[in-house]
Amino acid sequence: MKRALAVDDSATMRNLVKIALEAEGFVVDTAENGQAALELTKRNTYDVVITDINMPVMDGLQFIREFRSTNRTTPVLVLTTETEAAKKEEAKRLGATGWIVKPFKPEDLVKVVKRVVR
Amino acid sequence: MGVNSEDLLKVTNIILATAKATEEFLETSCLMDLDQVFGTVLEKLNAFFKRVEEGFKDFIVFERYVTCAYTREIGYTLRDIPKEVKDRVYSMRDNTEVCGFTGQECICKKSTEFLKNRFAEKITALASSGDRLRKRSTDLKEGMENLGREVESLTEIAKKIMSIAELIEIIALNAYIEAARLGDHGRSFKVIADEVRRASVKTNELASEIVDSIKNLQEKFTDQITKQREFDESMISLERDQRNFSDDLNKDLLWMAQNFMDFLEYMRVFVKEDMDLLEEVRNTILSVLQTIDLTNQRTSNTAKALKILAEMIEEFEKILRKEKDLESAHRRVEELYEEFKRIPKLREEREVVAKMEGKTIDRERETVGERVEDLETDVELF
Repeated sequence: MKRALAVDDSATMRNLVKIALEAEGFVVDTAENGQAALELTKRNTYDVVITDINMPVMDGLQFIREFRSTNRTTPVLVLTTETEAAKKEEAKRLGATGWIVKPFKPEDLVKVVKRVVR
Repeated sequence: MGVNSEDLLKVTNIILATAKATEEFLETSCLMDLDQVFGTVLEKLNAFFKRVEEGFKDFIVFERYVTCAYTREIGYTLRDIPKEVKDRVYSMRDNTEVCGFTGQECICKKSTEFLKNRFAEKITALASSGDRLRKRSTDLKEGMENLGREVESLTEIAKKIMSIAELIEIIALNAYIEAARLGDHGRSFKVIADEVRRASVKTNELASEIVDSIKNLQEKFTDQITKQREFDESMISLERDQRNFSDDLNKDLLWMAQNFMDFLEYMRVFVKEDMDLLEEVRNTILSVLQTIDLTNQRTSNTAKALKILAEMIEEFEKILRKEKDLESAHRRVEELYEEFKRIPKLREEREVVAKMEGKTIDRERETVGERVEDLETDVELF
């Protein structure tokens, strides 16, 4: 069974990702910021991580930077309202796997996740 | 402190532009759209519950149909029960006295239990009558065997008696001849010979009686055979009844099985349709939740924009009240404007600011990774 981590400060968004992926058989953990997500990645192994960018405590870009210092293989998808090229460039440089712009269709998220998960 | 009208105009323009953009933010973050989306959700939910209600009704009708022992005779096929009949069956769902299909007295009491009991009663009756017949058959057989043995034994006795009688007759005759030859000396001997002769006659009579008795027995035996034949015929009849009953039972069970399969197929299609509708409702709800979340974000961005705008107006008032020189106020307003431009996160908001500055956002130029084309969502893979 595949395991996913959804990181977003909005409970609604966390639940949306959880609902969409659980319907496809994923086990989904959630975290409300980058810091909490890092703690979870230390304890568990995930097949995919989906993270927002603008979050309190630790934002998404900082989280990707720290997560990639110990994990180079797990796909990390950014799910955000941000559309600026500069932000995308930075995420790519830090090791993000893809960029999904909100609002998103749940079935599209599932397709992208299945595509990046081996 | 003098106020240069041209510089003042610049500050005014920035403030006006910010106010105009903020106004557009306010419009886009308004919840008006949600009414429409919620309306769609409610409409779909209502449609779903109506379907569930209809489905429940259909379920009741089909449950009645497959458990009614007589619907096969009523003549409705499962799929084309008229609507008014369906309504009637549904309204009489708890009634075991009136049949919803015919509107008349229920003869099956709408129960598989009843149907089962009906068959069970017949089976028990058939089995017990069969048992009785079998017992009678055994009795008859034993009776015949006994009779046969009796006849055989009587015949043997008769044969012996007859042979004894013949022997006695010969002895008696010889004795008589001997007595006659001896004259008076043999008179007493003659008496014995006469007695023997009489005994012989009596024995013969006895033998005749036995023969009559045998005849009688033979008649009884024949009668037994007739009874046996009749019994065999009734056994054949019973077997035929059993076979017919078994055929009927098979037909009933086959009919029930076919209808049940038809019912299952109906339910499968029906459930799938509902699942599709539910899936649609679920997706709409997810979409509404996202819209609410993004609206919250827009509202929060608009609040930030309003705060900056208020600060700009404050700077403007300071100029008018001559509390601040135009140059420094202008600088502060420009700083605030840069801060204002950093607020928008959503593409639509960024487009508002770009439009205000007479620019457009080129989506292609903003693409960093490889765009996933076959999706409705904006996705790039790096």
